[in-house]
Amino acid sequence: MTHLSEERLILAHYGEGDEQDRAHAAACEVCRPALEALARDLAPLAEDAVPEPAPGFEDRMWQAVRPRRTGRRVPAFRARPWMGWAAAAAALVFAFVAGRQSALPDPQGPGAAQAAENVRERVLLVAVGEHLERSAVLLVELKNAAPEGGRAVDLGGARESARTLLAANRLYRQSAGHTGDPAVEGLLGDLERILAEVAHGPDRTTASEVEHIRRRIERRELLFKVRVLGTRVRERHKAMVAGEDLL
Amino acid sequence: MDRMQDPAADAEVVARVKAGEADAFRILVDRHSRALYRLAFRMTGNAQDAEDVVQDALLKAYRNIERFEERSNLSSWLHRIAANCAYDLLRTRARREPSFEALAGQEGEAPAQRIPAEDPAPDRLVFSTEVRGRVKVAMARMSAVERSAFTLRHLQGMTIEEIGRALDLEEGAAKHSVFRAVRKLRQALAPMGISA
Repeated sequence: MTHLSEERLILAHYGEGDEQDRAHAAACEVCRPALEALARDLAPLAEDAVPEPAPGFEDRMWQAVRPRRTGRRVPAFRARPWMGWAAAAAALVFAFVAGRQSALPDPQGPGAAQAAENVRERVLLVAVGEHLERSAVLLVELKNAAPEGGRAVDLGGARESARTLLAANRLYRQSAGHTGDPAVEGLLGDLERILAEVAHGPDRTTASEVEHIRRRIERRELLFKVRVLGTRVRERHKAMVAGEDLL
Repeated sequence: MDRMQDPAADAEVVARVKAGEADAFRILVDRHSRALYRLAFRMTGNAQDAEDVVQDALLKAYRNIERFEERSNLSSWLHRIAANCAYDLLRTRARREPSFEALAGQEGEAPAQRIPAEDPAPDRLVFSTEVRGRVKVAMARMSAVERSAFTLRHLQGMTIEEIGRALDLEEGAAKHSVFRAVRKLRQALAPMGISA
């Protein structure tokens, strides 16, 4: 009599494969114990409970996918992001300027108000540009962090930088949300998660935890995107300065 | 398998999303994301990767919602997307991390032998802890495709055919991935005489 190979037993165990095989395994004095042994071997895995995710899980998932107020679907990341991001950089800063301007009285009339707005926008462009540049430096530091001696990695300096960047990043991300720009808001959201993880972590972190952070940076192409947006912000600032020099 | 039991309700929400009521997608997120998380956690082995996988899967689902046919099962569709995202992550991780066998070779002993001894405890607890440790070692020794296929078959209850579709594999490849995974697991547990 031909008994079942291990592979056919595995299929029978899962209720797949040939029906005749399953019938044979149930009746055969050799195959039935083999099938039972297989079931015993695989039983421990069924007992492994999955821990619940951290609180606020559904909210976090929704924040990552939620459509914008216009109701249009979040577009896939464009193949040439810099064309859209030049405008996005301007919109990000505009939201900041507009939000703050609405609270300020205008003592000198509309012309002065326009000039003041230009100054504010330039100041904000510089601030946002510096924020993105420092974020890029931090991301490079994280990507290159290496374990010292044992398995621990010293992230004390990175933690301080992350703490400083985190608050500003939240403001810029919220501004991007107000302008309805999903690409920039998403990018700053991804950056914020990395900043928060580093800012709230211990000075000495395990090599595997640093590797996990590194993978997340690479998987989202975060460094590339931060650099591109930073470049566009600086270019817009230069263009503004050049435009004013001509006046 | 973790599956929502109300495909008709899902279909109604999908129709609303397709009709332009984008915020309705939140209903699907609330209904399905925990089940997707459980799948992602089983495949990746850690909470943060699992959350990243679920985010990626939900984003993909949202962007491709027009392709989903309402007569199909949304939960199955979402699980396939999540499985694929997790599989991608495992492959990416495998490219970057040294192989488990290489680590074992460098450190001069098989990883299973490095399971730390527990403090004195009832025999059953010690046994159970060691079994879990060996299972974990065995899962880590699997390739990305073996781990993915086995998790989907054994823990998620997907058929071989469904696994092939989720991971973009031929059915034969999916089947043999499950076989190899089961063999590795049995080899890791054999010294403990579980089958005796």
